[in-house]
Amino acid sequence: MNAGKESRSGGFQAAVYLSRRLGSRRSLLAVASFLLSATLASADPVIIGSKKFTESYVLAEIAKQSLERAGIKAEHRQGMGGTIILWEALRGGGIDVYPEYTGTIAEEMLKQPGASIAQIRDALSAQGIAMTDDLGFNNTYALVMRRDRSEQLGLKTISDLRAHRELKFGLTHEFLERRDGWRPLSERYQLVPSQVLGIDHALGYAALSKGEIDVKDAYSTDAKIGDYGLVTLIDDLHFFPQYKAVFLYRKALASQASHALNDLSNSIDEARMIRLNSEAERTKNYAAAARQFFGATENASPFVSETFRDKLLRWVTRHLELAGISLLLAIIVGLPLGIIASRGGTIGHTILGITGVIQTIPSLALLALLVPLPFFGISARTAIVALFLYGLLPIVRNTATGLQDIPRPLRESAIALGLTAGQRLRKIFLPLASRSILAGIKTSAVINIGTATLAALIGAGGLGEPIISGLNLNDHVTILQGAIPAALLALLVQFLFDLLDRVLIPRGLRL
Amino acid sequence: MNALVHFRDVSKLFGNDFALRDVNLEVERGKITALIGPSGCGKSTILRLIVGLVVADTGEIQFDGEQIAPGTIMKIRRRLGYVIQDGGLFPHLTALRNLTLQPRVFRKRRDEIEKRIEELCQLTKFPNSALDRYPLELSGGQRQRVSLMRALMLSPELLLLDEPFAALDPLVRVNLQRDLKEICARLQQTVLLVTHDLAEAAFLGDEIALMNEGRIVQRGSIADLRAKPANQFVREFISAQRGLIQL
Repeated sequence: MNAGKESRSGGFQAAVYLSRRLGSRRSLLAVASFLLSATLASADPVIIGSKKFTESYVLAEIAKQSLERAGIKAEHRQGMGGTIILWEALRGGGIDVYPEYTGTIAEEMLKQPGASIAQIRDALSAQGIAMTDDLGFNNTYALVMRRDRSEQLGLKTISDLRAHRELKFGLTHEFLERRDGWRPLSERYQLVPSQVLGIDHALGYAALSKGEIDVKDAYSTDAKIGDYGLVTLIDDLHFFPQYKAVFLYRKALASQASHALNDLSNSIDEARMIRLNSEAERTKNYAAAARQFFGATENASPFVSETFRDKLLRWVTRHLELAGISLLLAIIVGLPLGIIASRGGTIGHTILGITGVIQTIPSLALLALLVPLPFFGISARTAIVALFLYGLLPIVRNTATGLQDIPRPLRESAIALGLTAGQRLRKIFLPLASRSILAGIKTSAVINIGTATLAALIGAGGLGEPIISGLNLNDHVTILQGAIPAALLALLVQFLFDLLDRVLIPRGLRL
Repeated sequence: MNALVHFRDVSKLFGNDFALRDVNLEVERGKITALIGPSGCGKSTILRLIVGLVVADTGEIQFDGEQIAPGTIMKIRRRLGYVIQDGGLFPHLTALRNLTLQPRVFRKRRDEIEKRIEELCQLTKFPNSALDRYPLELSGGQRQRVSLMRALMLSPELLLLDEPFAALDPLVRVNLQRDLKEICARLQQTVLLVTHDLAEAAFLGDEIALMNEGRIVQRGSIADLRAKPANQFVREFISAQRGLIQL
């Protein structure tokens, strides 16, 4: 009969209980000030984005150094996840510049296949975006094979593939879905291979060299084509559009900065780009490869490369920041939701249903959904919100279950004592459910540490940075530089929460 | 009209089944009224209606002249003490914290609370030294003593006991029954006791109400019930339990 009162005060009561137990008022302030600073900090430097493949990294570094040479501060958010995220970030102002290819712009972003350069310029201009002239090379899609395999079968052109249905195709997920990708290509050439797998770009090269797949999509300037001694099949029906590299930038960019970018047009030919890519992959240092572009004579630059310890510290700090803040938000929101859900009914089931559905959205898809929204864009904020959403389910579910599992005699004794709904919740029900609630928070914390690696996909840093660049370079050492600390952090968090159990779970419940 | 609680034509349905059917009952002040009957006869429902854990479908219940209703129940609950079979003590609180929870919420003065606990420990013969233990560290009998103390903390006008000793072993039960009788006599406590044990009802109850299938079948002293059973059910119920006692 006090249900109404209880639902109104539930959230507040939970927050009070929590802040009493954790002393979290200060942490709340920290969240607020972090969110505020994240909003304010984006004023100064030119922000350059890049996609997660070597050439994009190198071109972004070249843009950065060109801007710096013109005396403009620039920052590189490297390896963001996919065309849509960068495009939306550019339109929304999350980034100012990034390298793109004319074919992708026409086909994917503007949905105007075959548009001329002038048409592309107009369409971009309408959205507040400008484009440099092409940088001097065409990085089109290509199908590649191992040399020995192609010679053995006598394959030279894409048309030749038609006769060999037994060949295994390993294609990137992006290529499989693109309007200028696999489906129209296979229709044009009438290819019906027995097996087509979706595989990551860098991992695909490894699979190709081991013979696990026979044909793969590639960019025509990929360093790996030379490194692995691969053969590019001739596009005899001229299917692939032109992919001239350009920089896209916001029209609002200062003219000095746009000059620095436009100075780069027609300065890199294909051979040079392959060399720079190969250099970057060999040294695992994109900035150094970009410096080579400006002439290696200047290697006395003031640029001092970060030591591994500094980098690790930066990754771990950011990682903890992302996971910690999102966890705190998940607790603040999840606990009241769990309390409401514990009462069952339509609202309760809806809450559990929604938090459950969120859990099933793949992380990259969730990011792609969030990035175009006004408040989000390419920022730590977006990563935190995504992590927060993933962290909700365990907390909501465990809070609800913990409260529902309180035996009826105890519930009724609390009512009979004449306590109000809020008093019952705070003094009796939440402490009784504390073990279950804490277990939920612990699960969330561990999940968040693991999932926080996705932040690197939108340039928000953390331990995902080395993991993604390692995947791109097919370099296990770099992957492990991110993966091992992330695993250790998860273990550490687990251990700390086990200690916290002893403080927060009343002794009477641990007998 | 000296009764503290009045039930007038109270019925309660659970689904399609009557838990109570046209019950009329008075709980006299200063007396122990024992509700007895087989499982499922509705005797616990009577206590739960008074506490407001369930709401009557028809009829009217008055407590000290005030009708029990959503608007009045919070105030009335403070004037009740409620003890259930396994005590209903909160496992996350020590015995002492279980006792002080309610008076602290109602802002009683600390020295008053301490004095009351002192009194109740003596009255219920509960060792002071065990107050810092958690419920799981107490014996079953000790738990019921703490539960009884908790119910008596604010000197309630009505003490509701729902099978308080059913889960205890016989020796402990006998001791507690004797102590309870003494305590209630000393406090002149109005009590409504639910039990399925005729010996307990006979020993503690000043008045017995025998229930079956949601109705009160007969009221009176144990002697009345034995001498003039109202019907065949009363005769059978009494002889079944007497048989056990005589063994």
